Amino acid sequence: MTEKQVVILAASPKPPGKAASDLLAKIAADTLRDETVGVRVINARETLAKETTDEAFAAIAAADALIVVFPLYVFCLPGMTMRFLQRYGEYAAKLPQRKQTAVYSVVNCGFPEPEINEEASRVIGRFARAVGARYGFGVLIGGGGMVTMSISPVNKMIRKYQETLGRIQAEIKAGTCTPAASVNLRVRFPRRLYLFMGNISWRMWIRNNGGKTKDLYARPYQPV
Amino acid sequence: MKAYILSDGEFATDRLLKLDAAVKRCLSEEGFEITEKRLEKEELKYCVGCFGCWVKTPGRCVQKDSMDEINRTMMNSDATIYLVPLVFGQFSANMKSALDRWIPNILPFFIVRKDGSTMHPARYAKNPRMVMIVYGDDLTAEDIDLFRDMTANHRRNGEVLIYEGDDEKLKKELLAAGLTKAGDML
Repeated sequence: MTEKQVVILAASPKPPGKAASDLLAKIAADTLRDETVGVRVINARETLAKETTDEAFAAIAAADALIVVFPLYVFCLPGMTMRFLQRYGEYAAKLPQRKQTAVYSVVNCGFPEPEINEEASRVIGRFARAVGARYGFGVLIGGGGMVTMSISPVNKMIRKYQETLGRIQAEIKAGTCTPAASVNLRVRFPRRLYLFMGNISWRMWIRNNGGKTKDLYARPYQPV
Repeated sequence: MKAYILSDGEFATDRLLKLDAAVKRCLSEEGFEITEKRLEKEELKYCVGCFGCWVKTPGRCVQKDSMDEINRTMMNSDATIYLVPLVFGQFSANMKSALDRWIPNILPFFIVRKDGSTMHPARYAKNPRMVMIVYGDDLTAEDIDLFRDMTANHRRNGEVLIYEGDDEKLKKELLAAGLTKAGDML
């Protein structure tokens, strides 16, 4: 019998199927779900586009735990993710009673250093408090450009991610939510090689689009 | 000298109107030519992380709305002043969308800065000085610290000022921020 309900908010602005955050949300759902924990994944982008926020907000407000999964955009939450949370904040403010939902975050960034995501996790902590919820901790993932690759260093990182989700699951089952330091997960891959590969990929990408490498450096707003 | 003021119409509170007037008065006294843009709620499309601004139309977002003009005006200004309503300790959704869609102005490549952190390089040799003036009716120390950390820990061109109603203090801090073109350190 399901005793606890978890909502995983997949909050990447990217189209479905293209985002590392979607994969991380799916792994979270698969890991957390069992005979006593029910899991529902809500896609923030689709919810906003289809204007089905009231139904999604009701599910979040009723959940025992909320896990917000999103990519880092310019060192904090994407505008779309903020829009969803801002609107939820307005919704929660009108509720006669608010459940002390346990909130966690999973943040991934394209830079190799997971620590860059720290402030974004703190923003989710502030959000949690603003809506009358509790905040546990953030799972911060670096090297997001590799997360969808099935290679050994990524698979090892994913296993650590699943272990951390196990810790979250134990808290959810116990009805606790202990504030704790962020869990930093990095892909053990040579940093210089990661950056080099990234830099090569942009050159390949623009050529595939029919452009030239020098086009990458265009300055369309250059003062004349 | 040109200054560009970007604000959020969704949070057009009395505090914003007072702040906006104080900033414009200060800039006018210093002889700045001022352009202003107040974003309407959800006026801007969200950045969807497609990287089209890097590999399809380099330097310009592929989505068509007012962001192209915002970026053009910004890059042709000496200083961009963001009037930032804090929500959960970060930019409001509108302002964050504008910041997300500023990325056409940087290059896709990775660089490692002197302190060892990773960053994308600037697209332009000279960039407007970025000043972010935070306001709100009930700002908390925690929110302010979070916003400062978010900026200072990662940006080399981003001055954070806190506006709590003191116009004279704001003027001093605004002028001290150095409202001239910055180089290519972002």
